[in-house]
Amino acid sequence: MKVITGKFLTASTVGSEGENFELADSDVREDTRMVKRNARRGAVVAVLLGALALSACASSGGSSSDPESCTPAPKGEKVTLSLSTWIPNFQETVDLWNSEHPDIQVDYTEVTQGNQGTYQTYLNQIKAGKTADLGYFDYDVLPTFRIADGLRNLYKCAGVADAQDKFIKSAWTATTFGQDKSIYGLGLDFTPEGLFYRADLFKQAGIPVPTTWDEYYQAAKAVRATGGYIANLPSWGTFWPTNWMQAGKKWFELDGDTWKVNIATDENKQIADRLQQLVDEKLVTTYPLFQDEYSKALNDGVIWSQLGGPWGFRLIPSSAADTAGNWSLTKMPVIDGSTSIASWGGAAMGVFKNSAHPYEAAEFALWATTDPKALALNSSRGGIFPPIKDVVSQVPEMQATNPFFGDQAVFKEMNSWAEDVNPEWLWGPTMVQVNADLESEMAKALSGQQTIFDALKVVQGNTVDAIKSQGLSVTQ
Amino acid sequence: MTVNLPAGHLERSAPTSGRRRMSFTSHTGAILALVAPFLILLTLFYLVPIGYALVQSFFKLERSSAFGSPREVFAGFEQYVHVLENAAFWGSLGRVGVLLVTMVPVMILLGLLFALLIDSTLVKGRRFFRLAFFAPYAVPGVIAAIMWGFFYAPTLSPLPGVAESLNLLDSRGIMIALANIIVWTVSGFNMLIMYSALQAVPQELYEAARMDGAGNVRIAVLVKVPLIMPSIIMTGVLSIIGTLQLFNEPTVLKTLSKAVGLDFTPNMLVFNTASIPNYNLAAATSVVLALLTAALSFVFLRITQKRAFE
Repeated sequence: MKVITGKFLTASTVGSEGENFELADSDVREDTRMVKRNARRGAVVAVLLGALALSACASSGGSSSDPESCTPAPKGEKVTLSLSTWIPNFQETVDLWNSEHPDIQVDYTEVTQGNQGTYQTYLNQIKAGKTADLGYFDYDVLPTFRIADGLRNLYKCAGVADAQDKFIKSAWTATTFGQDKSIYGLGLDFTPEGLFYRADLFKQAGIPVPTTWDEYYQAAKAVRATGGYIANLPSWGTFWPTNWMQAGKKWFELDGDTWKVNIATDENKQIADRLQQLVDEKLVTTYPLFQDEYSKALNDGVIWSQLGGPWGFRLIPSSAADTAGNWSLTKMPVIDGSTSIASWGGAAMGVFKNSAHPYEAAEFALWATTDPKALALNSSRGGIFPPIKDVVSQVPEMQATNPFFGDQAVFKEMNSWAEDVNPEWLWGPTMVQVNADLESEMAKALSGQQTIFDALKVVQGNTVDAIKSQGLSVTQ
Repeated sequence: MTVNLPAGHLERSAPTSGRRRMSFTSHTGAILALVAPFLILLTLFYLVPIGYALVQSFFKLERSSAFGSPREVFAGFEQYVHVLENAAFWGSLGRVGVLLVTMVPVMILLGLLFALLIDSTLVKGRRFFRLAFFAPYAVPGVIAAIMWGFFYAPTLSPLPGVAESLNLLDSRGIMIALANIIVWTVSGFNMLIMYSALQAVPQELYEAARMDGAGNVRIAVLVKVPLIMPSIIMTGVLSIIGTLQLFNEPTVLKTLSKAVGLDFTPNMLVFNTASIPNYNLAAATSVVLALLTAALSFVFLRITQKRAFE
């Protein structure tokens, strides 16, 4: 089953091959015997046996003495690690490693963005017990993969715990879930939210570029008066939590072993109301993000700004090629009296639990996320911003100017407010469901069928149910 | 299916097993050899996955701590209760239900109309029309949805004024938008099936009807339609199954319309539930969906066959 959609979504595949092959092996033998005797009954038995065998092996885990010990392969043994990501041109980073490390070779595959099919593949592989060594995970799905028992704690792997000082705090807490002695990934891509805006249009109209949400509302009205729209509010699920992350409101908390869900609390309503006002007064467009209609509006100068992480460096030019040179980047608007911002997106490299070579895998992940030569390639060829403190001075390549953004040194700009991302945020264990529900419910809110806060209430209820269905304890 | 092969042929194709197992008919070896590839593939890619889904649907997850690893435990019909209580499931069923009662008759009737037209002696250029009506079916559903989507979206449409006033991508218009794409794609396919059936009708019947004074319309309605009823019913069953399994077209429209959620059709809901990941609930949902599809097809067959053959 293949789905081809617009520019941003790529082909997504139901990756259940792993399971089918496992079934195939055990059943072929079963079948050839059965068919001769009684085809129909034999098939039914084979089905049940195969299925039971599979569910049995899915629930049995590893059984070494200390599952988190992290030791290198015997000296002289050549290790090959498998890895997949969707970072553009990451092969070049891998090639650099391979040329410098003849004994630890990395076999790299570029895959489609996680939510477009790769996470499903990863999860199926975990269930089938046939994963690669390393994978790539958005921060928000790390808890999902941890409760799927798919990730290895890298705390005891050499050098990992000591790297904490190099990382920007919020990227580090996202991979440790704020817990002691646990590191389930190393931040590779960091997405401090900025405001990409049409510098030319704002200047022409004499409207100041907003730095706070109050100014933003005033600017939105002024932009609308000229016929344009200050922004596009998408139903895209991952956008919505960032508004509360910036405000220091927590959607998820952990109390001992109980998850607490606070998506639609009274104190969260204020933020919802601020966004609701933009919708009610029709100050924003509401197209699906980075799809054709949106791109046209962006290219035609109807939409004047877009919030986003460093992925904007790639997606805005590809959506609005005709507006080259007219864009600029600044810190996202803040709440009055605060400097805090959010991270929209971002991903970490993690080691799958049943990797045979966690030590070497962690070594590679550490290199790929902290070595200046790797970071230079990741940022210049992959367009990503690493969650490393003051990364721009360590990696001179990142001071380059970008002609699409009016020759602004965009990474340098981003670096100046990267540490303002709120580190006190915990993602829930069922973010795939949360994002899907947000998308459905916010679509209704953006087309006026309900309020944004009503949408949050539905998402809250569904999230509690979904966490319960994972066998976890939950309150609200 | 009966196969009568000459004995010599049988000897050549499967000599050993044919001779060894005399307790069955002398054809056993050949039958097995011929049927085995089908049975093996049927088992591997049809029965085993269905059986696996069935087993999965009776389990649920249990954990001991906030990040604890999951255990699968038997849950009886618990997942099925969740399915039946799931408003999103009923919502998605409701949407395909609306399509079933509105869109399916249209695409069958259109197919029938086209088939009768190109079968009649009145129309010139029948070969051209046959191809023209059938051509949309050759366009993959995804491509068709992208193409029509561009017509519907006011900012992209070559006829922006029309697209703006129809506004088919909002929550009120989306069902029409979707139905239109599918009718456009499938009507030609239905036509071809019915047209093939019409080709098999002996010309003498028409001559007899004409001798009795029937005009073209009466021949079409009273002679042709009853004779090809089995084909019409078949397109009906295929359309019911196809509608309940809608996935590609709404998934494409989702990129253009806020009115399409990730749970717009039952299949999209199952896909999305599996990616949470909640395999057990997804399995239970697909079992319920399969049972519903089977039941609907069966009921449709019962009703129509009574009407057609009584």
